[in-house]
Amino acid sequence: MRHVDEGTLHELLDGSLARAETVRVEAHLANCGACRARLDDAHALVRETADLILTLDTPPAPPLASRPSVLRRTRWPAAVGWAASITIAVGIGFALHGPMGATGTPAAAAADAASAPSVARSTAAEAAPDRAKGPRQDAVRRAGSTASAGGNTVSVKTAHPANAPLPSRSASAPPEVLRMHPSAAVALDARAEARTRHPDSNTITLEDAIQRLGGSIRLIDGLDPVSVARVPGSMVEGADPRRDAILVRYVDPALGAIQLAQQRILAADSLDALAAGPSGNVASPGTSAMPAVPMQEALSTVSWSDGHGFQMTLTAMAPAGSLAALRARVH
Amino acid sequence: MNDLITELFRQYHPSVLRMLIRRTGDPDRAEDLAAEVFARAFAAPPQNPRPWLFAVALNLVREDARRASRHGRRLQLLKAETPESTETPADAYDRVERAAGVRAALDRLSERDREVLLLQAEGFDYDEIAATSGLARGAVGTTLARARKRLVLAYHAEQEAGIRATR
Repeated sequence: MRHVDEGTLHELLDGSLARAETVRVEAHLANCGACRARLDDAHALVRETADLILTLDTPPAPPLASRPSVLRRTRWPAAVGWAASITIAVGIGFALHGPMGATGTPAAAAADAASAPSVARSTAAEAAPDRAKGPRQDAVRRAGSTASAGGNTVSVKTAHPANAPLPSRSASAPPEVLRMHPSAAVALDARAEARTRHPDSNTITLEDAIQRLGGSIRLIDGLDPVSVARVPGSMVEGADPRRDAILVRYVDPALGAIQLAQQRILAADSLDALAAGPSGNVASPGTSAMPAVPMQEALSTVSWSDGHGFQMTLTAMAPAGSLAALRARVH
Repeated sequence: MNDLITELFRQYHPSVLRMLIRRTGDPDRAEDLAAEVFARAFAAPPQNPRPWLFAVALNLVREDARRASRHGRRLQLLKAETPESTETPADAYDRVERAAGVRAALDRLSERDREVLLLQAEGFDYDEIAATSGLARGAVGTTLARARKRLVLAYHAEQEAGIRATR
């Protein structure tokens, strides 16, 4: 008999093939590896289609406005956190490597930042969709006192909403820390959120993350991860842009959404870290250039290397102090 | 007569409603359409109820879509009902987004492809699919095979577009 056509294979799988025809087709399949392979493909297709259609039965999501507050707080960092991470990372890129990718060390950058603080701001209106992708325009550079924690390099950077007066910076001043008002960022682009949280784009299992990190992972004590994702290192402050970082998302009842990014430090990174020395850069709230804004509205980032081969970055909509406390719970 | 109607409703309403929700993505609209389907069935009880009910339901969807299109009505895809669930926000987000991806993929198919997929998903055999959709019985398998491929391809294309957009 001729090979079994596609429609008949599906009819067989769907149980709609007449008995006599079923016997004939099965006899052919017993002797035809090619058709058996096609049957396997058809079977996989039938199952995948059935799964996809079942997905349509999913209960609808509540609209943003009626969600519990924890949900609302979770959603904006999905958009803002990413946008901010990207821009912060680029900003840090300036600090680390200079605007043209010139070599430099974190220590040098920190020293530069500390010795020549300059501040820029953008209004919420300026933070239009396209502008959000251009952190060089929408960044604020701010430097405060220098701090160290043990032998680890620590830097705390806080980006504030753009609703308080700040002196303008010159157009050429390299940005260090992005400032972006959450509401402005949320309004950036509805598609941005879908892009950044596409379920299949970067979500991985915890086991996969552990494997990628070489056998262990750092987590926040007392909090359950909401999701784990693999992201380009270039999107994470302090991370090696050439390698992926692992991003663990949490929701803390008090602090809202938290992102903990981590990456194994390779030998070359360790040398850089040693060269940088135990110094850090803290842009803490309350310095003279700081706007008087509610601290809980500020996006903070803490980066450090834990001394055991991990480069960590914590990001949350929380005061820097809370983030530092949270950092102590990362193990 | 009343017993017959009650039995018809009990036996087929859940399935018709589910198919309509899958087809429209709008639970409220699906409820309205299902009510209309059974109102018609009660007015003139069909001989072979299942294909008849689904054929009427799918016709109503098409008519309603044309009407909605004429009036420029925006179909509300997500309703303001908060599901009672213990799932995490991330899970809820992923679930809803996946459903949106499947819906977008389904929307890219032809009406015929959508119908055979949804009827088959309701457990229709090929005779019933033919009777409901108007397809020749011998064309059902081929149509289903093609529709399945197109749905999966369209869904993966939606995913690809999403991934590309994140880069």
